[in-house]
Amino acid sequence: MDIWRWFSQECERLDDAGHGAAAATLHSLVNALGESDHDRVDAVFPEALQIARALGNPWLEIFARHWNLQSRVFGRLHGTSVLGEAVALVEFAHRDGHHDCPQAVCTVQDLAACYRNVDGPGYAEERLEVTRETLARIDPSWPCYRCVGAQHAEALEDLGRRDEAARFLADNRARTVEAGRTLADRATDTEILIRLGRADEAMALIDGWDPSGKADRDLVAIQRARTLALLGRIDDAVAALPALGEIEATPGHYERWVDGVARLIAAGRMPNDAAWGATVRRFVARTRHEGTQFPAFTLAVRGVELAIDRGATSAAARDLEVLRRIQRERRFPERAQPEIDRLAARLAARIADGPADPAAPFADDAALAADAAASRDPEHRLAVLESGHARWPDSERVALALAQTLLGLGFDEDAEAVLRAYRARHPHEFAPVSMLGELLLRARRDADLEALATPMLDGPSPSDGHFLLGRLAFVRRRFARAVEHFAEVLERNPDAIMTRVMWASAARQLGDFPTMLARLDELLERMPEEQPLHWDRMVAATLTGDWDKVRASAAAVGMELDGTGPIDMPGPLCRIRFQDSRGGNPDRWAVRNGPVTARIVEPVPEPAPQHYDDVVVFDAAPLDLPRDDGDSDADDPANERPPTFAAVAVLRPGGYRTFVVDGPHPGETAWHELGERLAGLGCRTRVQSGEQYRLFADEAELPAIYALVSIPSATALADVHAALADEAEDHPFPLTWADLAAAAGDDAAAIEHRARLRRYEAGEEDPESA
Amino acid sequence: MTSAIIELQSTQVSLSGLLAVLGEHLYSTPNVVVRELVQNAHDSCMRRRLEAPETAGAGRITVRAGAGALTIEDDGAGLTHDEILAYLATVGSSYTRQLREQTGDAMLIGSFGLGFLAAFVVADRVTVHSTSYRSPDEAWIYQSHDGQRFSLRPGEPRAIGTSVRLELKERFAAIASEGALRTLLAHYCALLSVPIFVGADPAPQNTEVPWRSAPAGESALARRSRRLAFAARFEHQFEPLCTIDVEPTPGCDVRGLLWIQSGGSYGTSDHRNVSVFVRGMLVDHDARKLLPAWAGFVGGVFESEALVPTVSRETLQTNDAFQAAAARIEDALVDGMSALARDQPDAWQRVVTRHNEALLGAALGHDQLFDLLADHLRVPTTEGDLPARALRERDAEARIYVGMDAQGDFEEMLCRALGVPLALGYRFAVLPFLARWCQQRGGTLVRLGTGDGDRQVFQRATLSDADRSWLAGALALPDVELCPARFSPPELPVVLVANRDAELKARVESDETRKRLSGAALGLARLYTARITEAARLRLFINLDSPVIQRLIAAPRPHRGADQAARMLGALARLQGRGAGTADSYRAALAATMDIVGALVERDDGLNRGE
Repeated sequence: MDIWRWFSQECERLDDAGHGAAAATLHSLVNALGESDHDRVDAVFPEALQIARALGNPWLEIFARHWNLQSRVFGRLHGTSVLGEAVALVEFAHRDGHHDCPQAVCTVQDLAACYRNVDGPGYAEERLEVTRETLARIDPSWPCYRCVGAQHAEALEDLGRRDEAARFLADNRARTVEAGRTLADRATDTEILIRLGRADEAMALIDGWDPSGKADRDLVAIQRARTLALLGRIDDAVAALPALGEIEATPGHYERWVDGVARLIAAGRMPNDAAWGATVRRFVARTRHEGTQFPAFTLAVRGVELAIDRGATSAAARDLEVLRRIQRERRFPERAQPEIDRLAARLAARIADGPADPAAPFADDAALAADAAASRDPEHRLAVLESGHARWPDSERVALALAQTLLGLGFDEDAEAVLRAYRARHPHEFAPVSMLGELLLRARRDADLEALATPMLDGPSPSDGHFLLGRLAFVRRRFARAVEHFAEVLERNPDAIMTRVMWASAARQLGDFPTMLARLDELLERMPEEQPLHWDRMVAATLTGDWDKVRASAAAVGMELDGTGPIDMPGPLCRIRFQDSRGGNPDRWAVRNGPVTARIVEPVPEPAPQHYDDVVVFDAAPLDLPRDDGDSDADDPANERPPTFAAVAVLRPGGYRTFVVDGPHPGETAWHELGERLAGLGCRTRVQSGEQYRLFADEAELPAIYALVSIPSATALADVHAALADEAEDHPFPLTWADLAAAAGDDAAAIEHRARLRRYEAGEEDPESA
Repeated sequence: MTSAIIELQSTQVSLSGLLAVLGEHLYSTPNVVVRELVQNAHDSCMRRRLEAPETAGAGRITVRAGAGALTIEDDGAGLTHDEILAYLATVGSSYTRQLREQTGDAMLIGSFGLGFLAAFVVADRVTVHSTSYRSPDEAWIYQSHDGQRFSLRPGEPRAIGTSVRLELKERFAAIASEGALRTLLAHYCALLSVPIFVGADPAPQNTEVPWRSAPAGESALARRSRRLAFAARFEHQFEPLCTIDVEPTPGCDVRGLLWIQSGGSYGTSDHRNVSVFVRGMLVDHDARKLLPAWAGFVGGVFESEALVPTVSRETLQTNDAFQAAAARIEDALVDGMSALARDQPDAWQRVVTRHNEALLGAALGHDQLFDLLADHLRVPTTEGDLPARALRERDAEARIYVGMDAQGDFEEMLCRALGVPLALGYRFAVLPFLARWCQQRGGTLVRLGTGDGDRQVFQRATLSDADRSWLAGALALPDVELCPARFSPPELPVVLVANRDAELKARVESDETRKRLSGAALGLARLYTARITEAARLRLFINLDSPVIQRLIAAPRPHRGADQAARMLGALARLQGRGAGTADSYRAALAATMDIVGALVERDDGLNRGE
């Protein structure tokens, strides 16, 4: 069964049934995978699944879920994190009416591959059996024949039967070719040959491999680089190996790519340094996170070996610890023991050869910390701080520096352990707890952070507990709760700075400007030179009407403002960005009339949000992205734009509502009279159309006018509606103001005006006059 | 050399075989023939400019059509008698290629022999009149039916240049239309530097290429309109909303124009429309892969010397230069969108509104784009399209709730009770966009209906054994696991949620599955489900923060009212969700509710009667 033929027929059927978009979505899922664009897979998959379900087509559901798993199991190397879905899909694909789906076979392979990620050798017997069963049901004319064959060979490899795997694959290739099919994916074939050192055969397969997308292209390049390295063609291998940035999003490449780099390191063409160690550690962490214990294990083995090779014994020892943790999570931990013992022995030998205790030369912890801080090699720093920490276990500075260094190298678990152990000895010191809190916040381990902080509320320093809980609430934007904790902190620790900064910011988010001002005042008493705080205080003080403070802060940032009371000075144009609760971020032209205030001068007709003549308080940091210097437009004065600021709050609403008046020009005199009359009602009128604006009536093209009328809140809309109607009464081609008529409650007029405007625009006869 | 008829066989290749290949495979469209001949004419003009700058005339190409014939005429270098013999008569030989190699002039495009040969695919007879600048007093007439046998004779003296006349085969007669030629040339030859006229048209089909020159003192507005007009020549389905320049960089010579289309798009629509010119000639009008997959609403026209056409000269080879060009174009597009947001806010608003859904997907793959778009895009929710910020602001805990299934279970009900919108996570890009948004802008994403999401919403709590066993009996939900928890809002006493793991376990371990799934595969599946311990396929979360639940638990027992109320809550839980239970259990819950309502009425009847 050819799944692609089935799929394209299915898509044709969808097209014919008017579901072209559904077909495009399914195609897009497969294409995204071919391009290693896993973000796009995640964007498309939920929709593809929903489409299949809405169409009541379980085969398409199997298709979508299978390709999602392909991205996760093969592309992103997920393990236990997708095991549930892999099992669920196998079950779904074998229900009544589903199991004839051409991809039902593939779902079993997804499950087997998922177990390969979880623990390849641990589940090798089961995988061998599953693939054997499947191979017995299909023949070389199926595309699955290659795919299942590759998995069979991988299971053999995981059982240590590499030569058998190679023989099996050679036979599989021969039968495939005999059946008239091409050898598309050659990853496992080349993998086994490379591991066997059979470079020429591997290269022959690579040369005939035609990659169809980025995923394949990177894979071919990695296999080529490794094979070239095997052949001793190191320059060519360096040129062939893709850069880290190309493969980082596709963990399915990690093991092979790391092997490629290791070969180039062995050939002296790439540095074996701390940065490289951190890269491998990141790969290990990422695969472990998805429950992919087997690739994590093999990557970690590489990490330990290379760390030993470069003499980074401290890092190697910690990498070895990580390896032991992974070992414990494997199905048969004891089977990995010889490998662990081998590495431990190598490490011990290296340590025995290495220099003496790095902490020995230092007189005290301060000298050691200073020396470590000066080192540019983080693995050296680690070694020094580690032995310093052993010698001065109560030195806070050494403990913190050690934790920081561990974080930088990717040993997050170890950093956490150092901080927790230190805290157990020194429960009153805040800095380690604060660092631990940040670590947990960054990892989004909110429950762990609460578990750390909550008992502190009843301990000797409840203010520290409140700080942590307040910070958690603040970062997660639960501002009301954050403020409660901040109040508790300040009650016990009146000079706290960070707490006040966060409180001021939380108060602003809550719209509590007097509190925001109070906290900023307190901060400025302690740090009078902090310019950003002055700008924030101007925002708060403007909103609370505390003009003296606005002037004082303006002076502090170099703006001398005369007078007293409200500030309203002529300023330059700017744009103000509002946040519309319905979405959108409408920008309006405005004139700045104070350090952090502006008056909106741009009327925009309803139903757009009405801001005309509002005086708004804005955040003084401009929103505009900085221009890059290479931009040719930058020199053109026509392209110079005033800055855009984010509105914080409306200080004084303008209260105007703006509507469109549109239609054939009534003549200068009549227009002038109308303007006078509207002005008498307090309205402001602005003509938007130019000389060229034309509408049609009686088959003639007439000069026309498009104007905006802004009506103050004190004026009844009905009065303006009546004034316009009055002026229009005798005109053969009257103006229209449909939205205003509707807002004034005259629905009949609104309908009539809309119809009339359509006729003016289209040049159609007026059915009534005809 | 009078009127001698010369007959030659090609000595290089068997022409009939090559023609068949050209006709059937490579030159799939007869338009390519026109393109090739115009290209030859262009090369000839360039050659005259290079070799005899003092004699060069205006330099123009004219294409005429009529009566089943097509004529391409140029005032270029022309061909001498020997040149005709050497080049027209010998397929695959290419004088212009040699010339390009010598001079490096990129404007010489042809592969003359092959281009000329293409004429025989569509024509019954090809006639060439030519006068070379080297022998301006001579004129030569070449004529052939098949390219293999031809006649060459002197003609009447004429102006320097060449004219090629094709008498078309009947099935290709449609090419001989001036209207079709205008469309064709405006597209295919837009980037050639020699003006190309159709018939007696006063203006050439190719206009100035906006990125090649800029009139002195051109205003920003004029600059924009010139680009928009040029883009419109290549964009037939939509209007270009705005354009973005692509400038060459040290590693990549691609230059040209990108534009954003006016037509609305949805997430996976692909209207990418890319034309690529190599040495001034269109070689690929569907090079969409030069644009990133997310740019389904973008068009582009580019020129490059580094891109390599395939043999058919109708597509490009996907080599390293192609990848480099694609990377460069993506960067230019993202930078251009940033500049648009900064410099033309109105145009930017239109782009964001029309392509909202596609941009949700685009933002995922690109940090710079995400920053640019994060606060402008809207996601579909149960309350219409809303920006992520608005979703977050609606919840006191700064949570954003996402449902993953249109046929959801309790998700929509819970959000209605909370008074917050539910984002539709099954729509294009919604889930990954919101996940990333929360990570960068703050807030907590809650995926309702998943194990993690449910744990975030329903904070597990404990209940005494006595209370639990009373509730279990009174709620009368025998197949349901009771889960005491605390959650918002307190007005919601109970929520019934499907336990997907337990459902899966039951299915995988059923006899039915055993019959269908082969032994080893079933073994692997059961390895997983053996670890699932819960058996009940439904969970009832009981809200200990709910005043009603608190009263029920506090009530002295036995208490007939509390028993009835609890049974009513059990039924209510069944009625709330859509997916949690079968039609039978739904009807049973309705019946139970009605029983209790009936009992309440009866009780009040009794009270009224003083019983």
